[in-house]
Amino acid sequence: MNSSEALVTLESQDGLHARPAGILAKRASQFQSKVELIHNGVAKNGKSIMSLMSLGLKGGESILIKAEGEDALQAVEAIKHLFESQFKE
Amino acid sequence: MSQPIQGIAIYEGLALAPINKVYSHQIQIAEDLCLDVLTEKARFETAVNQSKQQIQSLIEAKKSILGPEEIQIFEAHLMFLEDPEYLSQINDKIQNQKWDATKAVDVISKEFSQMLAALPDPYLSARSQDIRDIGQRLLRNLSFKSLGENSPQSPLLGILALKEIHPSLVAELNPLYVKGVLTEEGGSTSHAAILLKNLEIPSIFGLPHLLQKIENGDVVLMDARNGMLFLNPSAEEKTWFQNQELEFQKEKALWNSLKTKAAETQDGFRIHLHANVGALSDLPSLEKYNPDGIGLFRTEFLFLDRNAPPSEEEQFQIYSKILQTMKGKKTILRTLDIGGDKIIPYLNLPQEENPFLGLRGLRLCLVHQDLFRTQIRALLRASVHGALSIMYPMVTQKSEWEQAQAIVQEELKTLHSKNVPIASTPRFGIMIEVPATALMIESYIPDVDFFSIGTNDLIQYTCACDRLNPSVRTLYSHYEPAVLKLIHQLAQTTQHHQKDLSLCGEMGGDLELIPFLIGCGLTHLSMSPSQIPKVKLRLQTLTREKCQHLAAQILKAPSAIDVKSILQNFISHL
Repeated sequence: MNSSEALVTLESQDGLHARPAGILAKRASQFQSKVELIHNGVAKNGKSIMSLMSLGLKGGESILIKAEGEDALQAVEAIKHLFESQFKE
Repeated sequence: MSQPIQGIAIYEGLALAPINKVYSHQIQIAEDLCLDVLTEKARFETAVNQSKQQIQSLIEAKKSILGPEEIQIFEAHLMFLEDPEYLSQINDKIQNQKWDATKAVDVISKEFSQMLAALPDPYLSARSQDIRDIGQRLLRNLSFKSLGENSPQSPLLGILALKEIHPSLVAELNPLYVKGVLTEEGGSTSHAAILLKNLEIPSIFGLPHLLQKIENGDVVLMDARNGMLFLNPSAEEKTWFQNQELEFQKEKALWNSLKTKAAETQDGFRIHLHANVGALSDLPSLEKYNPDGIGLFRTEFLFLDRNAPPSEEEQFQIYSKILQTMKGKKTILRTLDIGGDKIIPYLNLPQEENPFLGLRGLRLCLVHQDLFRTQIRALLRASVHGALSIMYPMVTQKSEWEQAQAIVQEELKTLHSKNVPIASTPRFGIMIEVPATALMIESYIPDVDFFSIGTNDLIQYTCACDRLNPSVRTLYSHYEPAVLKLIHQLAQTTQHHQKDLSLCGEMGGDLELIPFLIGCGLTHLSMSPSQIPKVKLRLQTLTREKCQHLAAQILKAPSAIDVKSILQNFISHL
């Protein structure tokens, strides 16, 4: 099984609010792999908007994306891209 | 009259109708284990699908009353209903613990909601309410299914009584059937409150122990203008209600007829009536009273009830929304005015011996420049969305104005260098609240675009009396001749130099004083929106000439008592 990870920073001034968390969860759900976001030692299901919001990630903070499964590499790339493009759909 | 229960008035109006305790008796969390896991899981799945359909049709049907913010919230609700973590935790409880679906939904929703509530980010912690809202919707759908009655599609009737009300339920209410809404909890700035105002349903929140005091079917009398609820109204009270109701309907009809009429005196002299706005939830009332603009928008409310100051982006969004709502009408936003009686805990400002004479208004902004600069950037960026004027509070010396303007220039430069679009014409003005500034107005005239008299503080500082201290309350009066003299001078000086002057304290909505203000030559008054129709009516009875005579007479009066009796005499002869 493949696994992949990447460290990203939330560039926007606001935290990981409902809109970006929703976009992230939707994107993560398109992959077979298990996707987790890890912040301050807490890992949350990347496909769950509620769990992502409960990370309380603030603007300027970094977070680790981690995926395990067949398409782990693509999943991490796709989510990394969301952070880099500041969740512009 | 019997002793009423006092709550927070959310939307004015009166109602006399039977109580309908919504859902409280219908939603039951079943503690018994479920008989068949598969049936229970299917029941849950049906409730989820029903909930999704309800929200989708709600967004469709109610687009007109929902703002973009509310639509976003309901879209988030839909995503919650597809959240794999939330759904699988509920299914796990049914599968492994053999819990009834209602108990599983209740427990898991509370867990998620508490996780969010604990976050320091005020936006995120407010979303905990949305999860409770979703949980409640699922429970309603589960309960009705099992009861086989009162489906959520059948209209709710009477005066609804609840512990708290969520926006999704409000959006489903039909004002034809629902006479009023009463709750134990909830604040006037919640989304539910804003929606109730938009729907014009009389509502009172924050009624202590409401649900214990009433039973289904009890006829109650609610006076939502004053936030009062009367249980078991007597025959007398019911008659009183009918008379009040009639008056209120007449008043409303009159206001509506005035809505599109320009405010002018009997002799056709146009007076601009602007609104004072202290919260976003006041915006719907602007549509209702149709002011000529906003004369005072108190931006400090954005900074209250939270743990950290709002970001530039958040401020930008809100200022833009206000300017868009005003559709090009003049909109004066006042920069942060805190200190004095307005305290913001998270700023950790030192306590002062004499806060009204201390670091407040623009003084505070010039010391805490990070706060000020963030706000200025947000305002400048928002300026493209309407006719923005920016006003500084508590200016005492010309040098403060100069410092503030220097900061604006610096921020403008930064924004220009980033190619951020900014309207070419935000206007800058000051509030006149300090007698020193009132006396020195000529020195500001060459540089300042407009002035606005803040009467509440101008009275307090002219008469050296704390307006919140009851023992010197008699010294604080709208009719104080010294203050009226200052206002007259300001009106004359600005008129001479053709500078805009408005008046935005409580005085602007004082119906007895209006003739004097017009007599001084004031043409722009700002007041709480609900005063606007009343002031329009008053203006229709006045001529400029009569008002000028009155003003001359008043300026000779030696005391506030004399002023008041001259005004009352004048009005009784209209």
